Amino acid sequence: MWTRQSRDCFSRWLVTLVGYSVLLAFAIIFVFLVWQVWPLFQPASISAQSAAESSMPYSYQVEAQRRQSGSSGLLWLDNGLDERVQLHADGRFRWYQRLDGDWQLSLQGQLALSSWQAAVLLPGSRTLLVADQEALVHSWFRLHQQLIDRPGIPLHQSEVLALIPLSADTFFSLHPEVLHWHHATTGKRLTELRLSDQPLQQLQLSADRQRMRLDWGAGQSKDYQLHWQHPAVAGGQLWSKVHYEGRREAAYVWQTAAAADDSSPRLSLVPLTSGTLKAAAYAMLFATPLAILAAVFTAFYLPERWRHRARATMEMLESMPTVILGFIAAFLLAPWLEQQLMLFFVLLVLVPAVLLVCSGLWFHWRQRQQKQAEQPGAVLVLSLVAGILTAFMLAPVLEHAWFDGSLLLWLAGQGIDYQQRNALIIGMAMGLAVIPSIFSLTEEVVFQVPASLTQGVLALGASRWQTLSSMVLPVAAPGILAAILLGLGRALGETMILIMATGNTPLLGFDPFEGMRTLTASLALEMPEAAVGSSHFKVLLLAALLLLVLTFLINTLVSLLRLRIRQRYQQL
Amino acid sequence: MRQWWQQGSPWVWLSASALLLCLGLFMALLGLIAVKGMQHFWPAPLVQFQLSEQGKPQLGRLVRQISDRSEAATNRLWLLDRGDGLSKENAESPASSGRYLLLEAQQLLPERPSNAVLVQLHDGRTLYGTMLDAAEVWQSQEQAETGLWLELASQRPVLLPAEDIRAYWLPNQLSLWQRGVVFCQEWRHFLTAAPSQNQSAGGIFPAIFGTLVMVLLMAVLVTPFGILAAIYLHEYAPKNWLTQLIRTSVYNLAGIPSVVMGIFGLAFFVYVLGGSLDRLFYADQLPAPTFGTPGLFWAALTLALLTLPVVIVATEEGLSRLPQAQRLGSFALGATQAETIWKVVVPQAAPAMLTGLILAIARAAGEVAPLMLVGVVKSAPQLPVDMQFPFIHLERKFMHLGYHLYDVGFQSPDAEVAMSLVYAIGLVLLTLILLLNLSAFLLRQRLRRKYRLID
Amino acid sequence: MNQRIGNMLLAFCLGIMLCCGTFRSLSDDLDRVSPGQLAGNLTSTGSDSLNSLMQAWSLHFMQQHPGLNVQIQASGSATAAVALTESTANLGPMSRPMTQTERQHFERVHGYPPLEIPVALESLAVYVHHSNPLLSIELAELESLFSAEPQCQPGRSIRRWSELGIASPLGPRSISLFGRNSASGTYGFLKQQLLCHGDFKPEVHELPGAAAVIQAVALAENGIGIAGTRHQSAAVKTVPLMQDQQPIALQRTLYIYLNAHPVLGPGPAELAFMQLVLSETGQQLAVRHGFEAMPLDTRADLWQRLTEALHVD
Repeated sequence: MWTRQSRDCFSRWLVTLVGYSVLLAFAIIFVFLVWQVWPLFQPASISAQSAAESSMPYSYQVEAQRRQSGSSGLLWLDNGLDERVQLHADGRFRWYQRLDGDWQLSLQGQLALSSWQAAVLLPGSRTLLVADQEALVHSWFRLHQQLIDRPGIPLHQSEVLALIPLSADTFFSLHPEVLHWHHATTGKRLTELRLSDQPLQQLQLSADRQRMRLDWGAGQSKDYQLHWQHPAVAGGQLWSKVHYEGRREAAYVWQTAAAADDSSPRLSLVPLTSGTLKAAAYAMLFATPLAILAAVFTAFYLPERWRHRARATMEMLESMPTVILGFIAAFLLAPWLEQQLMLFFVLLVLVPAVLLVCSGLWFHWRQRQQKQAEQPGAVLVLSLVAGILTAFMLAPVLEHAWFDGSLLLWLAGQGIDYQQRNALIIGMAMGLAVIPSIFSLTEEVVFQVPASLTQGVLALGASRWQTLSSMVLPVAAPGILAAILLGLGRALGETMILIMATGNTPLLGFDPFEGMRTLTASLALEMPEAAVGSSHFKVLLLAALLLLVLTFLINTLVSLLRLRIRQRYQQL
Repeated sequence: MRQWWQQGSPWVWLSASALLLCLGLFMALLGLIAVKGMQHFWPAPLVQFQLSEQGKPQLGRLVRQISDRSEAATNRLWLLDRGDGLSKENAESPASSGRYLLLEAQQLLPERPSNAVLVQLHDGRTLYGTMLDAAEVWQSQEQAETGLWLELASQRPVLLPAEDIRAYWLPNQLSLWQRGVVFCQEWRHFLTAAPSQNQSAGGIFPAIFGTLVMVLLMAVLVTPFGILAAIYLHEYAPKNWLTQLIRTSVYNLAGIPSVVMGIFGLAFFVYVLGGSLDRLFYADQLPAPTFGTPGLFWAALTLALLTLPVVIVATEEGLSRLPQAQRLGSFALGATQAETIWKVVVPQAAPAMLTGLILAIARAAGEVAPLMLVGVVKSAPQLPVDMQFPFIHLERKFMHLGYHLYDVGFQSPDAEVAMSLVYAIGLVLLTLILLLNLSAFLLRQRLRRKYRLID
Repeated sequence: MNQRIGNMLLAFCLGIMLCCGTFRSLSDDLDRVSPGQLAGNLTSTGSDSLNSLMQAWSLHFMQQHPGLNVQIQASGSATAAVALTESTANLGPMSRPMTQTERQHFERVHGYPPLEIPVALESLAVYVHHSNPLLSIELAELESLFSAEPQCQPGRSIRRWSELGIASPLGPRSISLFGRNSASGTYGFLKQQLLCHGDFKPEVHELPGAAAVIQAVALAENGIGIAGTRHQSAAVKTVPLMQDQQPIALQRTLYIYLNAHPVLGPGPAELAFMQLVLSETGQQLAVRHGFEAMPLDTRADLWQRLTEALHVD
């Protein structure tokens, strides 16, 4: 029976349930991403497995390798594809390369060590690993007719029985009683396996390199399962510099290499994070002064009717689709700025200067006329237009006088590269997108400063400006900070403008004339191509989590600040 | 000087001009899109040019003027005659059967032939030619075949069958009024037709329709949820840390970058939820997925999550504007809390909810990044709603205005046409969103006035 | 229990196959169009480069088979491999061959390798701004431009136009490099052929679409970009590519990948689609869209292979 009470009760339960589920929704997003990303940070592991009958195609004789390297002093290494190295016990080597079916000597010389214990050429790569006597694996790769040194990989035991290649960038080092698993590119040890003290005779690997069989001879063998979904990430690739094969120095590289097998993806989040911060910083640099000045003026000086209109317009502009802004930034603003770079700088300096001068002149004129210095709209608009026009006229003249007719060429002469899609473009386009958010909140907090305060200060004889600067702004400061943070949150999460106008170049640094690649743009561009469950996929989810945490912190701060300012206003 | 500084005059001037600049920049942007978008349909004149000394003059349309700072002479870029590629076999070739040429200024001939004709075919192609003789227009050569006699770039007269022609006009002869008529007709075609010739011609109806259906579905999903959550927060929630937490998570939900929401939608809704749905209900169709692939429903759900805070905040604002006296009055008459809420509070706060809903729709209509991941495609031959059971196909992929803009701008085979087409699409998208916002704004105004009277 | 169902399924499939076998043997001729008895959905996910051609083919195909509906999503070749593996698509157009990793992924899920069918050829061209005086460019120079560290031949990285022999005013300026994003086959193809598996410079702009590359080059005086020849526009200039003074072409094969059981072969709708693609009509469409046709004997071989799988011996 539906009585009134039960209906009341039901309604209460339903509404409460929905209320809580908002919290739940947020929690699910967070927990799901964490859960997905978690496996990235689990290093590889080896687990015992019941023995299978099938034989394994790759087998490595431990004894043979030792004997070869020890007495006869000559070891042939092969990468299974097109590289071969002949290595002598004293460190002399001859490097052969297969070109059009023939083996040709491409390089010979002496390694920078006099004796060694074990060596290996990683399958499918050009990297030579040599373990010396002092628990260090030296790493070299061939680049044309040169041997490039990479940072060594420290071992945990000085006696090495064998180095066993597993993939293009991971290998085992076999010591007495223990097997270590290393990542060659990052030099990190992934995991270890304790062995009995019997000498190991043979190590076999399955074709997909997911299973391993250890053979102690006399029919004694054991099978293992190898788990290594994300060795490179576990090896610390995300946040540290890595010296990849084929490069001359260590670097932060983001190159997902979707199409090439032989190179593992280079997934460093450093350039993307720096790009995100750079884009946001330039956008804020452009938007914050404009938005806050405009909001303060709207809240404090504009008459009620106009205030209302300005506010409504800004609110409407808040939902301007960023895909349009991105398109205009990429195909209209960027070429224009390249052509008129001088004009841009002249505008930046001249317009505020002209405004100040005009304001001073106006002030003096009014004073001489013995009138109060009120702010007339028409004169202001005129001086603004005058400033812009002067800049337009002055820019070519100055460019000729100072930079020989072309600022771009002058910059190029100074060694400064100007890319068409750069941080200034992003600053303007994304700045335009965040102006409304900052404006709305700032305007709101400044306007809501209790009238009793302002009227009190005005009654003491202060001018409007003095009231504003000494009373209103300090009171509203937390709110303005909240507005800036809100804008920052929006700038960090913006996507379309960045995809379309940045050029997606994963560069480091804060150069205003270079582009960047951001976390958000990478997410939108690369998510469809990433195989579900792969390192790339998980790293992208990690990037999403990173953004989520970043915006979570910012937004929590914003809501705390808003709470604080509301309490402050209620107290006053 | 000191007085000038102390009175804050420079700051007032600067802040006032900052406001002017902000609004001015936005207005300039809107104006630019409006003008460029309109230009796309304005019947521009056809001009004649000559490629070589002995060649016959040819017809074309001015696309862009290029002036290099280094060179004194202006180079001009023209869109050449689109007369070739007329035969039936060529019907599927891209619209760029016309060529773009870079012309020197002297290659342009001064006169604009009055009998130059522009023909729009049903398959989306545009042809330029010379109308042979006014008397022969639409004249039947044989009884069965009627059409338009044209001289095209190939310099031979051709009879275009009437059933292939969507529209034709003589751009150099049109009066202002006629131009206006053509302009309106082309707009109508643009809004109601499907894209053709690889999105570089035709209309954008499927994109508009897809956007609307997705947004409406999203509204259906988000409205009850958002309103109930707002009612909880305002009417039921006790003042404790948990409520504070919920409130914080509403703000945080609003702050989540939309692309992250898209990632979540793809990884959780599509792969996890959709995959399980398929295994449970559509096992017979596996491995072909039904809901385990991006589609309309997941897109709507993702955007519903994205716009939930908008609805909650707007509804709560409406609820808080309602005088407490009304609730107390209702209680005094013996009504339960549920009755008070559903019969007194909610009906009065309905406009606020509507406002929130409209704002949510406006936000959703402009989002592109999450949709790229959860269900939008560049061309979908089937609309998500049709006459086949079950009428609304939640699993289908759909087209979206914002994504269409991105696609045409970045992936269209005809980069030159794309540049002006993008502005037209942008104009439609912007108009849609501004109209939605305007209606929300007006609703809110009315609401405010009403409660001011009650107070 | 499961095995029994499996057996029944297999028997059922064999039955269908036998029925289809008669249908197939009729359609051996490449150019005969089978009447539209097929119905259902075909989803294609993959290459952006192939998109326009896929649309043309699907349009033609839907005219032949009114019951069939072809949906096309084109956001890059890499998406094809993922979509085929996840079974979210029937056709996977790709502008590069599948990599070993992608094949392995596919095999792990389905138990057999994907079926690779080359469908057309495309030439890539080097574009510069229309005012650029560059006359030709060597392959090695192009590598030095785009590569972080030249791998094919030793060389220094090129950063300015003067290093390519261009005089002022362009000479001192840096070179803006435009390419496609990593999901695209163009990216993978260039990485293999041009960079010898090396890394791209981080300065290379990755744009999501060939049209975007052309537009970007058209608007940047110091730009250079690589995209398909068919995107030629008047605002950009094609620069001939040379190797040791001999002009060469960067030509690549475009593929469609299918999920085809080794015994059962591809589904009837997929097969009919491939019939159109490999037919003379289909190849003419390709030529008209700026691609190059596959040689006839290759196509005949391919068709043989496609249909052979179906005849159970």
